[in-house]
Amino acid sequence: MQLSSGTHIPDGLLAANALLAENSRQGSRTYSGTLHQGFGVVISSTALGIPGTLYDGDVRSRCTGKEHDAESGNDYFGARYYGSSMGRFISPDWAAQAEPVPYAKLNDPQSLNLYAYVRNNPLTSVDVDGHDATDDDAIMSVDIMYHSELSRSRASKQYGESGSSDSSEQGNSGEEEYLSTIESGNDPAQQPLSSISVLGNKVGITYGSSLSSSDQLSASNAIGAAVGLINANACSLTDAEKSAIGQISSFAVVAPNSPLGTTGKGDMTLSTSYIGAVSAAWLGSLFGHEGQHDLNVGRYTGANAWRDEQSAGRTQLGIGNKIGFTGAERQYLENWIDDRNRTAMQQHMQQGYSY
Amino acid sequence: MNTSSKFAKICLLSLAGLLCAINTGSIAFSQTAPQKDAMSSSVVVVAQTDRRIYSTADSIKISAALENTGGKIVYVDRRMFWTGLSGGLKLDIVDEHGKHLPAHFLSDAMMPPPREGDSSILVRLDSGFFYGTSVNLIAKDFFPKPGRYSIRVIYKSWLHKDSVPPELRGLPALWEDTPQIASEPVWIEITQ
Repeated sequence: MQLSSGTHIPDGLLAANALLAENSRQGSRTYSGTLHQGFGVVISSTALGIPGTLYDGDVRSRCTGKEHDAESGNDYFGARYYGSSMGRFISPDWAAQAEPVPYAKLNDPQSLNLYAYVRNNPLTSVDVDGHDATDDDAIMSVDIMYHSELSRSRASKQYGESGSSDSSEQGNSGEEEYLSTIESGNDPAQQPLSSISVLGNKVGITYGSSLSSSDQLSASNAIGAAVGLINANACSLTDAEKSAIGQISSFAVVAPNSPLGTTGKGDMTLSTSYIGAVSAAWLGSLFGHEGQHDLNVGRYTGANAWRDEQSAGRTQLGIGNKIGFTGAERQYLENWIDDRNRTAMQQHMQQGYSY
Repeated sequence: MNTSSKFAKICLLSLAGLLCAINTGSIAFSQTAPQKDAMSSSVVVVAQTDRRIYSTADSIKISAALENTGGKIVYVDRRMFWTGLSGGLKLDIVDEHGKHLPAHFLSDAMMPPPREGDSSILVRLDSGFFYGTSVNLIAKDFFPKPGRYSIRVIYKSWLHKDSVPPELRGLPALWEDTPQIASEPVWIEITQ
């Protein structure tokens, strides 16, 4: 599957993510220590409070935040080694007390696969210790956007592949339950997200009371797509970019007739019409733009206010280039933050703060 | 014809040519620069509120529109959001003492370029036509205490010619080089 602008997600994720979407709405928990992003990778970030030594190349993986064995190419997660080349653990999961299928959840076929990494949902899930750490409230799916593309055959294939032969019955049961739910019109994935994990940080999402459920869902899907791009490309983001993105803790989706922007306190406010008019990459890059403004508070004042906007724009540009900006988007933003445009940026900032 | 008269004739012709060149240049200049001014001056931002007096608990609806007051057709960006001067609309609120209210929100969600091939990105405004939107504000969120306030709405296009389909680039539109356009202030009164 191609999200947009060249970001490919393995098809196997589609069914898994759709299945997990219900869990995602049961709440969330963020981990400060280990953040995974992308299929087969886990990131940690100094910008998000992880000690910088985690980036010390040879011994520790830059992306997983876990001990990296250079000889074998595996990452040590405590309980087990993870084979990044395979995208799965190299040994089955285990529990201190003997269980037929450790950490199994019968309503989640993916949990029956003892080799799977974060239940095959690495875009949004977390593995802290090498065991199946994706308990219900730790998963924050961004993947309801994929749901419409989830065909019955694809779902069948995915579920059929999950688990061992002993668990296939449970897998089929989960599939039937899921498909039955869809057919009944009560698809659990068709609910707007109330929060989402962005580089491991929980970002709450609120919706204006005047918005219809379909508008909320459309916006939610768009945010999910944007955040999916950020998370999937986390390894290529700089610490500064991650730091800016990490400032955002709340996202307000509002009606079209609302002011859009930020208060500079970790929030961003966008309207359904704006969200619907921009690409996933642009929307994702705005997390960095607004977050950079947060970081810049008090730094650029008076005649230098335009530098605040330029700084935010540069951060946005850097992120956008990594998560799928088109050439036109890149050029557009480059023009905006060019030194020669300082007058416009100055007016933008001065008057932008005027109420 | 002697040498001096020949010289005088040459000088006269040269002077005439020089004046002609200067004049032509000035004509060319006057045809380009004022065109840009004409574009922005032929479009005004019209702002209005649904009432004049509000309590702090009220919602204030502010409508804003780009109106073509000139005699020629003008095109404007179809997308019109309250995104600030990086392509869109912005509020400028001043109290009765002429002081801008303390900042607590940055209108800052830059309009991206239009989607590739979006041939409906421009809205045609015939003379006398307008195109606009509105914004709803909770009075207490924007006006800290009772008093009189003026509200202006400012519009700035950030639409680049090279970001729209080629067939649209020659149209007389509010492109990014058009100066920002501010409405006349609208005065409202906030009561307890």
